[in-house]
Amino acid sequence: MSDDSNQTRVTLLQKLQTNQDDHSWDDFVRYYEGYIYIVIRNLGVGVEDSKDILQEILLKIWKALPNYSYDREKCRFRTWLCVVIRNKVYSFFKLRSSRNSRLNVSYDDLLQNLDLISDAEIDKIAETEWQSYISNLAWENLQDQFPKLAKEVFEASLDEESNSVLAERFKVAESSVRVYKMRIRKAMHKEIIRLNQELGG
Amino acid sequence: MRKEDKFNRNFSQLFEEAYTPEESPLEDALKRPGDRYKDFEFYREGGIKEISICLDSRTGRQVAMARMKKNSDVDRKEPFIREARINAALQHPNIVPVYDVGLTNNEPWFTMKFIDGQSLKEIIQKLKNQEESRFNNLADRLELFLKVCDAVAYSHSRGILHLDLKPDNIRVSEYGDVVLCDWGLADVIPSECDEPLLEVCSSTTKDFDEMTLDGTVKGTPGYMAPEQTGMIKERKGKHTDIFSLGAVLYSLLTYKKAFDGDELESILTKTVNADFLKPSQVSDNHIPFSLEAVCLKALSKRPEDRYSSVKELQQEIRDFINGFTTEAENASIMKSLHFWVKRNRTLSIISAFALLLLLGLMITSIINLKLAETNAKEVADKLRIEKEYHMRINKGAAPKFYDRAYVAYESFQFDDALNFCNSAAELDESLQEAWKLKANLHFIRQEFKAAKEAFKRAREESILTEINSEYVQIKANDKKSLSTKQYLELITQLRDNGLLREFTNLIHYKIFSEISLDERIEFCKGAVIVHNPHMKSLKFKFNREFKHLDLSGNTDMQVALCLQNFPAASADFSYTDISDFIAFRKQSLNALNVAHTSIYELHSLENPELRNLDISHTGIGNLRGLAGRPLIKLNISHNAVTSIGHILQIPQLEELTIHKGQLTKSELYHLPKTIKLIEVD
Repeated sequence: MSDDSNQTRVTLLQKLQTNQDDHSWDDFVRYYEGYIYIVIRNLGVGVEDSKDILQEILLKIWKALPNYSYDREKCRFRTWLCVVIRNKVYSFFKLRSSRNSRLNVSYDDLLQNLDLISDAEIDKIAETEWQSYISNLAWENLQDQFPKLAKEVFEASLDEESNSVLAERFKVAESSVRVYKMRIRKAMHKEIIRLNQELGG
Repeated sequence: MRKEDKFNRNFSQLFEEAYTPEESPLEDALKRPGDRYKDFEFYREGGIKEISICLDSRTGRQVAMARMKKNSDVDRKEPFIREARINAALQHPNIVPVYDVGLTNNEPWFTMKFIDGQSLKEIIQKLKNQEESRFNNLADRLELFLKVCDAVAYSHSRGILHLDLKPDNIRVSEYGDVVLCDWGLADVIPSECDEPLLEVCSSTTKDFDEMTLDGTVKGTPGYMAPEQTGMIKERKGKHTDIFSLGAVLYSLLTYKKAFDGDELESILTKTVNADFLKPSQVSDNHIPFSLEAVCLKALSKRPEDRYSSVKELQQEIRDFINGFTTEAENASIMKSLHFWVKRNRTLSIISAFALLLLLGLMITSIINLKLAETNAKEVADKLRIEKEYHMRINKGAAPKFYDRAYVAYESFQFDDALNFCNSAAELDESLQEAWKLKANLHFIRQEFKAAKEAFKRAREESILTEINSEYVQIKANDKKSLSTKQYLELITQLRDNGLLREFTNLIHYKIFSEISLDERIEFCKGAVIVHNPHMKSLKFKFNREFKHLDLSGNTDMQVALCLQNFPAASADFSYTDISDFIAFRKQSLNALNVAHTSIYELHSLENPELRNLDISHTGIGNLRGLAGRPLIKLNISHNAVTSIGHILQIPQLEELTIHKGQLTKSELYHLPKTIKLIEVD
């Protein structure tokens, strides 16, 4: 994916691994919280439980981070994250199920489901959610740079391929649609590559 | 609810895009594996090829790809590639450029420029229907025609003949592209082409036979020249293309075909006689007299009456456009004046004084015209000298042509041999072998006069030259043929003089030429006797309905070579004295009976379609030659076969006839039960 020439650059992830102070904690939370949250949700956890569990997992990962050896060939960072998340979610519910068995929520079912998620599936969740997360993050970072109309046309273009239909809908020339799309796409590509590298994709 | 819950999943597509490196999309497109050509869309089809429009992913442009039609004969592969090579050799703005030639899954293809537009045929049709077109104006049509002439003149300069010029093969785009396409019938003039093109010169008839696949003549009726109809003996050449250009011009003037009719036969007959109505007779269009004259000259029946070069034809059209009188019009001074005045209309109406002045000017201009003519003659002379010089340079190539001619002669490809021989003799007039071979070839074609001429150049004197001279007296016109009787007399004479190769040549030439069945039977009857001089009489029966050829019982017939290429479906040669299968070559036989003959081996048996074979009472002892054949019935009784081995290798065999005791019990045990065994005494 990224070039070898970039290997020498210290990425945000590498900084977080070596610099464990308050300032870097804030950075860590800012950049990874969202991703960890979606993965938790993807494991079938409800909104309320997810909020509870998120803090615990953030902390656990923060502690484990210096021990994670960055070796892309063996395991991607995002896969490692997901395995940690899964294990944490698992023990969280194990605790819950034995303590609060009288509650309505059937934690046993959840645990069973979690058990069933294989490594390959973890990989897949890690991958798709990472892509979605990074792309959305990129869009968040960028969107204010573009005029409102261009933004709207671009967002719509993700669902609608035909330039002529978009031109019709937004009452602009087809050529403008093409230009908006091309400009934003290119900017997005750059930003996605940057974020992906910084965050250890 | 966190913002992550509202993520737009569609954004992930951008992630992937970001990593399909967009930094150098153009370079990556070149690196991308997979097929270079894609998105095929059928466009049109012709004789053996099919044209599709497709996207060339390397260059990103649309191209037209020609491929052979599915189920095409493998034999057509070479001609197909040959077309690509000839077309590719031509680089001219008015000739469709070939971009690439290749093989995919062993199927040849080539790509060329896709001209988005219409064919001239469609344009003419529109004009005929009086639809609005940018070619409503004659001047525009002539301009288009000149571009076509440019293309043909160029290809002639490279020694290539198109031989299928017609509006359908001329494509015109909206933006002025006029290109000549479809070089499928094109031929190369060996003495004038570049050396690399010699490779595509035909040297076997399979490569380049006279007929197209469907058995019709090569070319397009309505636009082909008399010499392409196959009804007269005349070599094809630049004059052939000039005739077709004339026919195209005719269509441009009248919107009609020069030769038309309901039946092919009648169109061909009209073509042979150059029998057509003058443009002004068939069209309501105003047809300028000078253009009609150009048309008539190009469409002359005799090649020598047509324009001698495309350039000459082109010049006449240009002259017309420029308001000059054409040569074809046999310009009178008045005509010149008329056009001159036309060009200078404003001047001519100013005043009488001006007129007087004009008269003076006119005289000078006529003198100038004459001067221009002298100049043109000088230029032509210069060109001729240059050509001669060019030929001298190429003298060294003559032996190469002679070698090719000799190889062709040895394999009985007489037409090709003559072509090469002519080129060799043309390049180096002192090459005596070439003249001698040329003489021989003319003799084979019964062109005795030409043969005599060539013998003289070869300084050859022999029995053959004597016989030839004798026949110049009998038939002086090289374009006529000998009668069958005369032909038989000639081969008898060759036989009696021991000229065996010449004897075989003439038999071969006759039976492999296009002759009617009656003529063939008459000839074969005679030739068998000539070939077997001891024979007193010949039993010869041919059933035309079942195509059964029966020569059985001719016990003293030893050779029957003249029956090669006979259109029989089955043959009975039992009780004859033939000793091999050579007589049956090029016959599409299903059934063959050679029982009670002197044949002792199967080596010479070709006839791959044979289903039914009777080789009983012969000396054949080894059936290896039958392995893998589609035989259904086989009779081997009373011959020397004693082993079943090769019979097991005849997969479709249904019936086997043997004599009692021919095969041992244990041999018979191995015979499949599906084969019906017949035992005779």
